[in-house]
Amino acid sequence: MNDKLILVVEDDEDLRYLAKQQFKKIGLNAETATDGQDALNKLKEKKYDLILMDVMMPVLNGVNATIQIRESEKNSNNHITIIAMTAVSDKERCISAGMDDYIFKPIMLDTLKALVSKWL
Amino acid sequence: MSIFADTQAKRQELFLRHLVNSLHERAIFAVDEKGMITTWSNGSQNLLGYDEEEILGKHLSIFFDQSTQGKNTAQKDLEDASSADSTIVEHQLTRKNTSQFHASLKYDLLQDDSGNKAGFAVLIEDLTEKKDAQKNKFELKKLEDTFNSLVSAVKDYAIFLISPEGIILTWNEGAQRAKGYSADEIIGRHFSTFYTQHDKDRNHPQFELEQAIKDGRYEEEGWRIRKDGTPFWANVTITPILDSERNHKGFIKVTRDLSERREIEANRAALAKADETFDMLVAAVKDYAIFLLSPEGNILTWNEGARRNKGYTAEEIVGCHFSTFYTKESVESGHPDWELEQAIAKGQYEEEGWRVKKDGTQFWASVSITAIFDRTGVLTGFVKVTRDLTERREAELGLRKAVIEAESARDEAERANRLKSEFVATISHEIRTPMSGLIGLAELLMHEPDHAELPEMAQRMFKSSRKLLDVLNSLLDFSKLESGRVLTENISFSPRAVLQEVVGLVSPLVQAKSLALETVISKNVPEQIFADEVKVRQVLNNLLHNAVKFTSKGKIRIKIDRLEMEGNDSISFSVKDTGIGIREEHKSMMFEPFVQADPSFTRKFGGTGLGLSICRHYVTLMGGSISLESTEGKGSTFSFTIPVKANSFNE
Repeated sequence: MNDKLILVVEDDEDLRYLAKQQFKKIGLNAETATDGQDALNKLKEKKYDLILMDVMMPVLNGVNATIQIRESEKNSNNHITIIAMTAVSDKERCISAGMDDYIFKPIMLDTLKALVSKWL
Repeated sequence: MSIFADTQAKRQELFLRHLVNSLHERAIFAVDEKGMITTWSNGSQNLLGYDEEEILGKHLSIFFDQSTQGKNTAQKDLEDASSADSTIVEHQLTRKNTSQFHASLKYDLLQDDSGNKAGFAVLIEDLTEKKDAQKNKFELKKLEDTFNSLVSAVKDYAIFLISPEGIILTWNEGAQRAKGYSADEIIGRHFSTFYTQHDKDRNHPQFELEQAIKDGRYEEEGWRIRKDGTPFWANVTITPILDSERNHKGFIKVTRDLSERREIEANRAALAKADETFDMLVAAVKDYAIFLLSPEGNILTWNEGARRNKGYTAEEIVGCHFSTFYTKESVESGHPDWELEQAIAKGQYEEEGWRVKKDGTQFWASVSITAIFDRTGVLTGFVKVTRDLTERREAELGLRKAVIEAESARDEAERANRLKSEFVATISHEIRTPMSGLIGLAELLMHEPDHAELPEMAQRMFKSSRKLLDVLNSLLDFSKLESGRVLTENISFSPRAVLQEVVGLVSPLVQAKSLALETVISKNVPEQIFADEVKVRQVLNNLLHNAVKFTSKGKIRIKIDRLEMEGNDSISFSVKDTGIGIREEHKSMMFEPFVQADPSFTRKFGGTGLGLSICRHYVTLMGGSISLESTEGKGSTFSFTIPVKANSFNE
């Protein structure tokens, strides 16, 4: 479990900090990206086991970033787990874009634990 | 010589002689048994030409054909008469002057008192006249038949006979047509049947008959009544019929239905009257220009409406071409003539368009041009009717404008509603984000936190709390402004100090983004100004934060100027950045509440979308104005100006 690498895509700096602290607390390594485009760049450089994706972000939002990720996976057997972090309940939009699950803000430690045990 | 002896007989003989002589046209005389003429009479002389002296003792056959056959005929007549007492025969006889005539001869055997044959009495009548009369009668009958068939065939005239008492005796086709009765229905009835009650009451039918008898003919025109009760205007002629003894035998009545002619005449009269009335009417019409054009389009008449409408008097315009009323462009494109062509082709042409008055002003007109043709189809001109619709058009435009305004108000309301929904989503995002940070961090603190992280966690919680508070304050400010509960509170303060304070607040952000910050304060800006310091600070702070927020590189320049105008001094603050700028189409709504130039910016730059709206409210409350200049991609300049009383300056 400890070798798993998580990417948290979140435009709010405080929430990025919080996410890192939360994963540290449950014993996982998390890296962060500031928006969808930043996430795509990071995915090219490194392999992640799980992505937590904010939906409303500047430059490239979570939904469009997911669509691009799924597009790039088409010709391979790869499928990275993407979990939506959303404040509003537009879960249908997230699922149809290719996300695997969703959680609502604010995100509590127990929520993260359950999510990790389900998907990692 | 006499066959009578006594006086009595003499008297009788005289009487008879007188009687015989009184028959002027008939020959009556006596012959003896052998046929020798023994007596003569005036009538005999008249008819046969011989006087008494030369004929007495002559044989009867002298009147006959002087051939053997003639003598024999006379002899045979006598023999026949002798045996039959009385015979009547007809022969061709010859007078003394050798003229011949067709005669009837009546022989009566005369006997004396003792019953011996004493000769014959001969009565000769000239049948020529009778025969002629008979022939005439036949001819007349033929004529009458022809006449009758002619009369009965006449269709346009009612021709019929009436008795002296006025009873209808005959009927013809024309009568049936004119009056509607068949012969069976009407023959035997009085001719007054055809008269109006009024005529009957005044005994007019009888009067007509009396006049006809008196003058030999009566003629009039008047109303008559058909069988179906409808009146018709009739020409009536009544001619009395008199026989050869001038006895009154009845009347010929000829009636002609003149309704059609009368109608035409009445129509003509009515038309003339109508024409006159119409002319007066047209002349008096004030709201419509109504005038006649010649086939070439020259103005022939002018009315009051035309004068009012177009400004020309009749004297000025009659004779001019109607294109005078058209715009230059319209005339150049040949539109007036085209209108006439349309009117000729279709009978009428209608349009709405601009026309020109005498004073050169234009008016929106409804125009109708009707071509007039005479009976033979030759164009005699046009009637042109023009109405000034400017008022109506203005009313319509006004209405349209009102509709547009209503629609835009509706759109505005819908937009405002949509903006409010977006605002709620934005605000909830703006609250939820720091709230999520606070909750998450608080939870971590509850579970044996990493002590090294404690200061940072506390700092972040503090920052998030302040963010929340800012959002709440904005909401509160805005809510107060919307409800009009915000007042200004003017005090003396230093604009330089306020600027310094605001710059101090924003400088960490400026440094974090490696931006340059420049402040320029004109020398004529006083140290102290009298205004609402709190609001000035808040507006300036907001503009400066926006500038930093939307600028990623370059510099931000803050400038304060004093605009001196007589008795109307004001201070202007402007914040210029080298940021993303604002699209032209977004500029107008930048100061509207809940609006950000691009909703996606909310995510990039945060904010409630209330800032500029609040700024505008504040500036307006201070009696000033706020504006922006921007070029997309190059940067924006937001400026606000507030008036400051001249005597408030403490220099």
